Amino acid sequence: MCSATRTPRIATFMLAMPALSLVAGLIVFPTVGLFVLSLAENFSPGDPVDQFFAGRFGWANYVRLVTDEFVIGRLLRTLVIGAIVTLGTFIVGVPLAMALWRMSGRAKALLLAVTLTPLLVSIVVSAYGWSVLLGQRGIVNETLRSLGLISRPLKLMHSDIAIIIGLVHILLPFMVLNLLAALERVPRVVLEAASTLGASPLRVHAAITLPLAAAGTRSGVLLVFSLAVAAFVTPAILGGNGTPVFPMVIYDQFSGSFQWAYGAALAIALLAISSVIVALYLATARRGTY
Amino acid sequence: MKQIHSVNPNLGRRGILKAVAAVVPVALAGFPAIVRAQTKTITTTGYGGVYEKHYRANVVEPWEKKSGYKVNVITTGGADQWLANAMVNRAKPEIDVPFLSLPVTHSAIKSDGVFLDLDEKMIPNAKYVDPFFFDFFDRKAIGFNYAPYGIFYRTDQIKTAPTSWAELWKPEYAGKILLPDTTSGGAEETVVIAAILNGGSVTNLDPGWAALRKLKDNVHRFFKNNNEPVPMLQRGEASIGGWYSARVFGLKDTGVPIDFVTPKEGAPIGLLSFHVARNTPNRDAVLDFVNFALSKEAQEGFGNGIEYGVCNRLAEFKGRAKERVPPHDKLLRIDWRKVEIAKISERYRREITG
Repeated sequence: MCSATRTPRIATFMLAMPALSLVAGLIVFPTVGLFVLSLAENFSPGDPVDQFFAGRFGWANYVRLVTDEFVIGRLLRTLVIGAIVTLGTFIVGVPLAMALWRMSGRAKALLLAVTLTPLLVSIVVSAYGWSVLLGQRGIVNETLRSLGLISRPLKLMHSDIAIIIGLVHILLPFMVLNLLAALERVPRVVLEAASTLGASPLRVHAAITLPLAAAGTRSGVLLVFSLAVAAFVTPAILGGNGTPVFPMVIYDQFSGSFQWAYGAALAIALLAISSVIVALYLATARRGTY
Repeated sequence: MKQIHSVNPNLGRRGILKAVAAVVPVALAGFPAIVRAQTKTITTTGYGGVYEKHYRANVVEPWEKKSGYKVNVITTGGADQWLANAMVNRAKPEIDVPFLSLPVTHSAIKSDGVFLDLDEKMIPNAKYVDPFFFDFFDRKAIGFNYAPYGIFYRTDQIKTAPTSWAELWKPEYAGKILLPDTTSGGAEETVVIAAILNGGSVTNLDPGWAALRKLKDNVHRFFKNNNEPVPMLQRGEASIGGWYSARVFGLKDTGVPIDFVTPKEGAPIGLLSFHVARNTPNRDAVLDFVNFALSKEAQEGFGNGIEYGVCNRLAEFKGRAKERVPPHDKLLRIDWRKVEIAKISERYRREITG
């Protein structure tokens, strides 16, 4: 550890260079470009660069956005879906991460591998897998019907419920891995001390384990929420008619309607809003326990 | 050309490094065109699956043999992306001749300076093409084939074959209807049909919007691509709706009890068309390719093979294709030049499928 702090700064910088240049080249630069495009007021795709910069710039696309009921509705719906998916991965992920934390050896490796399977399967494939399970005559509906719980098939496929199920499935590993990494750092002696002093197992976890693993919860929540609100493929396959989520509305502006500047404004708005939510979450999470 | 694609299995790390070292300077110098010039290639776009099979066999491969050129057919992405590519790269086109579909075609012919104006001198076979399939594009593109959009129905669930588009509004079909979303073709046509049924027209769509707002809750699914209806129809979740003829017959041929009818009001068409990039360096070859695609021979081979309509009036259908392809006079010809089709799509996404 000591030698690391003595490494010259330039070497540290060089180590970060590949990643930094990737971020700068593939994220910062295009995002700035997108922002400039979002300010263009009379742009048509393919305009030469000089004509583009000679055009009018202003906030018209953003004004249109805030007065566009359809777009605002889709934005809110996407944020709600993102929040439910995050909560879902948390509820499913916490017990799973705890189980993994307690296990060791081959059993742990096996369960970990199973947990990671959603990352190994293409999201297109897993979405189509869900469409088989959730269809009107899919396994879920047929099972419920044979148990006599329902008389008519439930509309699961092509709905927000299907989007949520599909996203919880593919995003679960991100939550579990973050939780597990944090749990691994919780000193077990502290938990033993709490039990010795008479705390019930539930209380030990609620009062000690989870607060100590708060950093993992934070990164898991942030990662899952940002991936969920930006998801495109899963909602496109599992979602209902039209454009149920915001990224699909953005895509339509670029692809179907050829309104690139407006699409850029929508993309920047989604980025800004999710950044604000992330910042608010971090601010409250740091103050509290998790 | 073959050896370009063959990979030497003994190619070691050093070999790969050498290859990379050889390619990188060329790429950096910005001369990918050299490769194209050497291989005499033209680039177009196309549609996958069974369409690609017949298109290659009757158009691409015979022309390659005749001309000595190679045709690079891009099948990834869709018409909207190909048009976006053509617009962005208008000065140095990556696609010599985008092969586009409705409704994107109408955005294409409205974008100035991207595509060539075509005439019969450039494409001699254009004189045999039904004028509608040329004028439809203001002669800025030319039709290759059409797909009739009509009514399909499950023959086990619906005993009497439907004859009119109006039957989709029958209350007994609630929850059993499939209609296209704007991404799978046919959505804008459905609006025009609904308008015509209710006293409107392509320039007066309000009655159509009102009728579709009433219908939309009866629709089981507005399908986003032409694969989505397949499992729903196999499972019998849906029993009637609007779809392209060859898609319906394709499914029928796999044993699904389904049939296609051309309604008495006529069948609108999905039309695929060639748009020649204004600044293509291969203008003569591209025009020759388009001319060949429109020849009686290529059109007959393709049309009879896939059982879609073709634009050359001289092409003759035989056997099963003759029964399955509605002739030019059974088509509902919608003049999209009178309206802004992109606005119809946008409104459809907001008010009907949204």
